[in-house]
Amino acid sequence: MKRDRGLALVILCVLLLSVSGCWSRRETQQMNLSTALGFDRVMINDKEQWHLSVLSSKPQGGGGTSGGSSSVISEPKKGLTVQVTTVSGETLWDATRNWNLRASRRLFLGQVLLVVIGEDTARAGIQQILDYLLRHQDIRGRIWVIVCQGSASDFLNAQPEFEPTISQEIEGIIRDTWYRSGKVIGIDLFKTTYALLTPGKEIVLPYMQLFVPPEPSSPISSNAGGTNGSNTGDTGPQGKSFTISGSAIFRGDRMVGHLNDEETQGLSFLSNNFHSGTIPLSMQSVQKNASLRIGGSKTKVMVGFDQGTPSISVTIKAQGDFLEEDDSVFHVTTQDFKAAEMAANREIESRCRKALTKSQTLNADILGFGDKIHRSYPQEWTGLKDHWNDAYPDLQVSIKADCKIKQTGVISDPITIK
Amino acid sequence: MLDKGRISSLQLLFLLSMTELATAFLYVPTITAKAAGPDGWISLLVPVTVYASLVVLVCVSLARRYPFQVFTEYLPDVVGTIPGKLIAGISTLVLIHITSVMVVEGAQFIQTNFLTETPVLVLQSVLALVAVYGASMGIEVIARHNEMVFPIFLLSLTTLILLVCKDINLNNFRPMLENGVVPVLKGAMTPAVWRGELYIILWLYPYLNQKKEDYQAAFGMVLLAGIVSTLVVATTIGVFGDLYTARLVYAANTLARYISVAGILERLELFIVIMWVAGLIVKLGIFFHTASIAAATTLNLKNYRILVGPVALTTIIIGNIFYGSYVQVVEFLSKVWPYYGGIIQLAIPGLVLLIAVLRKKGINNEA
Amino acid sequence: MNIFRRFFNKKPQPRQPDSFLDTGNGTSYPDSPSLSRNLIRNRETIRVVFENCDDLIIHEVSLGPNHATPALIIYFSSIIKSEVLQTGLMSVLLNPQNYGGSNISLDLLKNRVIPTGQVSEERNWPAIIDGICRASVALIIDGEDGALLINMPGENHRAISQPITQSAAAGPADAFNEDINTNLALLRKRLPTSNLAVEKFMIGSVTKTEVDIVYLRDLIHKELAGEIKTRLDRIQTDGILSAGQIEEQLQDSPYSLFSGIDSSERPDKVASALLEGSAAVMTDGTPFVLLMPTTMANQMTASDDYALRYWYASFIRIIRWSALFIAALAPAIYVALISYHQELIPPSLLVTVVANREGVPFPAFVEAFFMELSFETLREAGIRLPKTFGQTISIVGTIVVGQAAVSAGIVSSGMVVIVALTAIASYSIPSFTLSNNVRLLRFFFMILGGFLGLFGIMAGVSLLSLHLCSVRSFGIPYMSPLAPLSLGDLKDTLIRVPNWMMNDRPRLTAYQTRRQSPNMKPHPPAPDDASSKRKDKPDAG
Repeated sequence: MKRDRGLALVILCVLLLSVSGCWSRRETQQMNLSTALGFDRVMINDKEQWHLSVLSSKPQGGGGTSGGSSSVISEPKKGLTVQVTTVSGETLWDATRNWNLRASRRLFLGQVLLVVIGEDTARAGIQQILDYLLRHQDIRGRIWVIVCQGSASDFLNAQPEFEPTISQEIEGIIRDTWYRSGKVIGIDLFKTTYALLTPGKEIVLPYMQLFVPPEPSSPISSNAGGTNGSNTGDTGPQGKSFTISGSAIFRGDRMVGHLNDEETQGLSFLSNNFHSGTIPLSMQSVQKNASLRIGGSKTKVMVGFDQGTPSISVTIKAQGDFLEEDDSVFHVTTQDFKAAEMAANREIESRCRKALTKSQTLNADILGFGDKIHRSYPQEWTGLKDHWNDAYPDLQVSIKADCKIKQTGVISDPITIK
Repeated sequence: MLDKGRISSLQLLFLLSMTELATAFLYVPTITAKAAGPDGWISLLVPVTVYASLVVLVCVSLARRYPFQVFTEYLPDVVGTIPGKLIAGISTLVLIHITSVMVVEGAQFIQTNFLTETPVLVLQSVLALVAVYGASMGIEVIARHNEMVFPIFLLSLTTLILLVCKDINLNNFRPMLENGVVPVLKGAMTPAVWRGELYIILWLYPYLNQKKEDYQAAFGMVLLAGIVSTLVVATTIGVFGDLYTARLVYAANTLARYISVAGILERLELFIVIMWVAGLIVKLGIFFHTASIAAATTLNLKNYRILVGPVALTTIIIGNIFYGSYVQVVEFLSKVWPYYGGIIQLAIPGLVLLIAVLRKKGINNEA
Repeated sequence: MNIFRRFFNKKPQPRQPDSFLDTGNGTSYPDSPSLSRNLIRNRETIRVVFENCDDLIIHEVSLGPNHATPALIIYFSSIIKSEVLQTGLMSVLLNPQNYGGSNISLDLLKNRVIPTGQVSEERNWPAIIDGICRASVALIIDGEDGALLINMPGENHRAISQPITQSAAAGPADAFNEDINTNLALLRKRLPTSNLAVEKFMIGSVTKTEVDIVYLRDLIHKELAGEIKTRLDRIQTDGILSAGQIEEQLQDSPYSLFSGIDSSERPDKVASALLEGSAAVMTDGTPFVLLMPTTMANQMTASDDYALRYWYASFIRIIRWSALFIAALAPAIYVALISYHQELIPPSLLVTVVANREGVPFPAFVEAFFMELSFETLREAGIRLPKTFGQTISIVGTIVVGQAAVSAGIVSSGMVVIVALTAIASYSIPSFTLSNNVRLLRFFFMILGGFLGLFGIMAGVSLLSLHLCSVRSFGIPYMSPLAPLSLGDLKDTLIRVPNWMMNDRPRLTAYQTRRQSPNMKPHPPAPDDASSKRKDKPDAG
């Protein structure tokens, strides 16, 4: 009796497993590895259509010897080809499944690193894109989100200069720019959603655009020259590379404006996202003739209430090294140190002020001051939150920077001309 | 006693903690964040502990009066034969009912996130088969297995929490108690009855070897599970903010996917899968065992093992019929389960305890 | 339908006799059990019983001070060496001066004449016949109804050599061999105490294999020896040729993969197990000694752990436990990750893996199965390889299975790496039985991983863990000290604490638990010793 029951259990398990047939199995040969996604929304004949661009990498190699060699042990050829495919559909998931109308492999989004949103689409609203990305079970919260000039499918067709694929290149660009010059703030998918959800905080995304590399020996422009017979006029996206040019400002889920490099740097200072970067200073001249490399900075935002009117005071504490000068304006003396520090403070405050003015003009609270008021003064916030967007341009913000110069590099006094 | 096994007090503590933590770490942050906002973690710390302590006091006092019998065995003795058998039958059916929700929850997570095309029934059957094996081997085997699994489970969970600590934004917790204490209590309702599932100690008490350490084990569980689940909720709310957390379906999974340390330690939802399956199998094993023992004692059978299979089958069927879609599960958990759980965990044992005290039933040892 | 009935209905069998030995499996004994006083009749009985045994020598001699008493000396010429017989027995018996003038009788011979000590007097045929079969010389005298059996074991066995399957880097290298007396000698050398009990049993009606239960009397639980005896008594068969056959009878659960019995070739491992309160079962003819009760922690310890210092020993232990997991789970996890969970693989690694698998015709699961099966076949072939071909075949195996298969595009190189890693890991497991079990489990996990991905593997691991927790080895839970948790015994499981910290024997197996003095921690001499007084002494030279 017991043995029969054990036998029945075993047969049950075997049947279960054989009936299963591994439904969810995805063979690597049937999969398409995509590392970047691009979203465009176009209106065709008054009907909205979504274009989904997928950057896929196709590894080559493995199997067969690469003919002709006489050695017993041969290396499989390894390489990576990259291609961009654009599919369209009425909704984003429709486009995703329409992928298979054209491709023989399954779309696999588990390794996507980057999401590119075209500028027009960003101006029209990104809420549907975010919803699609968040509900998808494969897409991770740490992927980068950027806005690009023009259309995302063109952007993804551009050539990277240093890395094999665009997604790796852009990831490197954003990360290094963020950490090393502060001229962009890297935002991942989760932080974008967080900014969208939180009242009193708006989204800021890196903004990238394509350009033709001016170097005559650049392999990219020579590629473009080869594909077009006569290279008069503009080259296609294959002939272009990309660069960061500031940030895109959103109000709600629509893009309303754009900050340039300096303003974005100011924004990094204001939102405590500045890790390290260079501040050019002008000491005793109109032109910029000195540089301060800031190693770290901390920003404190204090909220004050004055009879129902909020006011913000921002204090930035930074420290850096003085690393470049022209005209021997700076020597290692206390006064010169102080003068340089004051010049740096002025410069930082002016950049922050530019960023703040732009955001107040556009009526987008990208610095999260509203959120800060909410967290610190919940009662007052309940009165403010409904018309915060109107109250924001009139918000009084005082910015104070306090820089400390620590080192001067490997030489101390400048090289004077004799 | 139908099961000849014995468990130690440490094993009991681990068993009870696993019944809460196995599912709590995935679902609780969402529920509390929805109701209580940024203060979700407070609701897990204070009100839930209070409720669970009440349940401990009631259940252990009742169990102490009948140290070698399960709840459904001594019910007829306390309240009379017919009401006793009635309540025993209801308790059994309730156990089967709540186990069915667990089976559905268990398979749904894997199916949504990892094995999307696999039919849910296959996943449920695999989980149920392993749990049935454990339950028919006896509580001692499950307890020993859990003694190995639970520390690893706890270690993985704390490691994940530590790795994600650097992404915590303290502003997400402010303002504290913005809307007062009421949302905190509202947010505590469902987690409270999840921790109150320790009322199955009424069915585990006869197997406990060191009967003197029963309060230690039970209160230890309340404390341990309380601290760990508070940490999980606090971390989730700290990293994601309450608005985003309230929209997540599987909080810990999204949290684990968000971990990125030095660019190397990524993709750690591997551990979530491991913890989830291991924990759920233990939890299902305990509940199948408890339900079978309850059914066997209600029906006055000598052998509980023959009931384990039918109990498992019933839970799968009920689960698929009543809780097949997400909205059914959510509505049950948020609207029905707090009151339902409160009745079966606190009200009924409390009433039985009262009657037992009044009628002077059971062994009365003050020591 | 009647065609299949034959397979399902049991054919009615003739009723089996109750005693197994009555069926005629065994030695044939004469009808009347005792000897007769007539030598001629005894000789006839011998001739009939040992019919067609041409290597049996029946030597007629005349013994006694006057060569007056005829006697028979009966032995197998194949077993007894002639020099030993001559010097040890014949020269003594045939010398009339040894008899001292008294009348010849068995007692006289036994007590005063025969020089060796292993003499026993038997009066019934079964014992005499068994004795002749087991390297004894039988001496039957006319007029006596008994015989003397003089035991003269020959040295027809392998010399003590290195262990076949369980070598150690830093420990002793002598191993058990097929002769049970040599093995007992090796044990007694290591445990020279009167508490070392050896209980002899004879199992197998034809082979009459000597099986000994060895234990330290004051250390084991009393019921353990009795339980082993009961289980040995249950064995009613015609022949036991190896310890493995006994092992299957001695285990607690008949169907489980894990027997709860460890086997070892090394005397130092057996001695340390005995010191912890286990019992050993030795079988004549097998160099493997069975140890019971055992736990998984015991099966994962190697003698090296105690021969090396504790830092390195702990590190190696951790590696060994990891090797256990790798050996069981690595191919399964690889298959599951490649087939189901590609998002869990780091991106650059995924690119490499996908590149490797381009053009491979089989799905990952089939590839893994095929590679593992061929590796198991290779391993099996390697055991039976004649030594002359050993080098060639190993090179061929590497090249064929590894490189050429990859180049031909049948398997991917990643799979070859995984298979090699798994094989190496499975050889790090000290216990032979455990590593065989792990090899089997590897296939089980591969199937689960291939069908249900990581979820299947975890369900399988839970199932295995539940099963392991239910296995008992003579009452001891197989997974102690991990579960049930016994913190004191954990000192020797995953790591190895210094010797002076291991004060107690394992709690569950040993009867007396205190093993050594707790004050053994080494320290340099205290400053107010006599050495400080020597400061005043002038240096010599």
